Amino acid sequence: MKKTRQRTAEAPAKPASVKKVAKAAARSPATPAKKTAPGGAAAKTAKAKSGGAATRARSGTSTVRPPAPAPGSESRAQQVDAIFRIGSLLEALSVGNYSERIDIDSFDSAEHRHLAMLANRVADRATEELNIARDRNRSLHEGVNEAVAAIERVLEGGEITPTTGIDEPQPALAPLVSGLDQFFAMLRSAAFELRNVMRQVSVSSSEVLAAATQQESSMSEHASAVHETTATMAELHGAARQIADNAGTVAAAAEQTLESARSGETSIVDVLASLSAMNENAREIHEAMVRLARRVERIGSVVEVIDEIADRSDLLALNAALEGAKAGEAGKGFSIVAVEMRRLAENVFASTKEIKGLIGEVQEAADAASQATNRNRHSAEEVEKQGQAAMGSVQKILAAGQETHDASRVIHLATQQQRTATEQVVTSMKEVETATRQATDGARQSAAAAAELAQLADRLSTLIKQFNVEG
Amino acid sequence: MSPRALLLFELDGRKMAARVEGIRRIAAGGGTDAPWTLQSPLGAPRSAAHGLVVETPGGEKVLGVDRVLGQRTITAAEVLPVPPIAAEVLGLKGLCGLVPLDGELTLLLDVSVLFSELETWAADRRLEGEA
Repeated sequence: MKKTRQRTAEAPAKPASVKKVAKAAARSPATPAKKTAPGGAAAKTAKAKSGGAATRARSGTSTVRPPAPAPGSESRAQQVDAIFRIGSLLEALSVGNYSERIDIDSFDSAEHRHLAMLANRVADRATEELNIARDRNRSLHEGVNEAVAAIERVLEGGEITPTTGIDEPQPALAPLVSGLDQFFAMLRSAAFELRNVMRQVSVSSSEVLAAATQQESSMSEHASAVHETTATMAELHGAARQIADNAGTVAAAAEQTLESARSGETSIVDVLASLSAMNENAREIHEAMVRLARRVERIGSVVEVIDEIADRSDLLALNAALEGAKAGEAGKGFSIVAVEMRRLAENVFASTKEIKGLIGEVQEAADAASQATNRNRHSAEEVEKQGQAAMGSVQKILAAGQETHDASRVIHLATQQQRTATEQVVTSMKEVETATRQATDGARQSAAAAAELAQLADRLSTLIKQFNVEG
Repeated sequence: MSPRALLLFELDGRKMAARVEGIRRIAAGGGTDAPWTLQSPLGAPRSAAHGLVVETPGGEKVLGVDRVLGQRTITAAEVLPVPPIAAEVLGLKGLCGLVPLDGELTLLLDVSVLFSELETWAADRRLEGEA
């Protein structure tokens, strides 16, 4: 079809009418002969007239036939006409009208006929060369079309064949076809390589996406863990501060306890001294009470003697009164004295009885006091023993309090250091949290970029799949 | 009526009186070598702080009493006779009357007579005990 169309398009023009050429020649004056130079007026005239000749030439091959000359002679006009006619043919050839021909027999002059014949040969040769060129051009055009079609197949259908499929290209197209074959081979190889690479890229991008997603998840978990750790560390810092404060309070309390224990030790020492003095006093009181009891016993003995004397006095008074009564009136005065003596004796009895009662009470009180003193002394001894035991306990408490005080101070220092350390850890954890948040954002961006990369890889893979390199 | 002097004493918790003429002296408890009589129809002394010393045909004898309270002088009219039934029940020849002292009737004794009948009384007590 294309060839037919090309041939139709490239069909030679219809030969120009010879009559038109002759008419143009008749209108032309003879002056062009004066011109010898190719660019002179004659040439311009010929050129101006060649337009009509060319027009004629496009109309098809024709024979220029001049008006019949007078028999037996060739005039100057005839000569100019002959040259003009030959020039018109050459002019038509020069503008691509290869259909014009000159009727050789129309020339009288042999030279003109020879020139006409040569001009016709040139026209024929030109026509032949033109046809050859047209064939060559057509062949080239077809080869180019095949190459373009092969490229279009690649561009439109994505089919990349190993070669262009042009087996016997025109020699002129051979380098082009060879180059295209090499290009196709290279493109096919590149497509193969690109497909493989894209497969790897797709796989790798998927892996990167998975890894980025995993990293994002991990970073999120890590960020959450870091956040929780930061919060926990903040709480721990608060607890450490509270512990440090409590440790300080405990240290102060331990020191106060130590001071109290020392004060207690001093108090117990004083109490023991007081108890010892009390015990000594109790012992002295007991001894004094013993002496008092002996004195009271002695008083009792004296009272007994007095009582005995009073008893004897009473008995003497009774006997005196008895003798007085036996004497009658004479013993009356004696009886009165005896009665008085009895009364005195009875008074002594009453006094000694009262003294005995008092002595009994004193003895009872002395016994009670002695017993109380003994009990007090025993109690004081027991209290002293207990005080000694308390002293031992207080000394143990003092030693323990000293240890507690030292330990509390160490704990206080440790908790201070712990509070400082936890504060530093909290600060570091906040920095870590910030870095983790940034890393999480980065991981999220990486995941997004990996997803975009995976999408691009899929799109690129889809695009590359359009290139069929399986054939 | 001539006044009479009485010696008051306490024996076995009871106040009694005796005529001073029959008593030689008053002895302290355990203060003499004369034999003491602690058992009699009048009872037994609780403390025997005093003893009434009397002269008997066998020598001085001591009647142990709780204690001598003192002397009292009365008139003869104040001495009351012992009722017959009381004299029959008590059966004591040494009981020579009753004397109202301090609102109560007090036995008036003759200690020397009392000692004369103590041996008979003691023999009767022994016989009663054996019986």
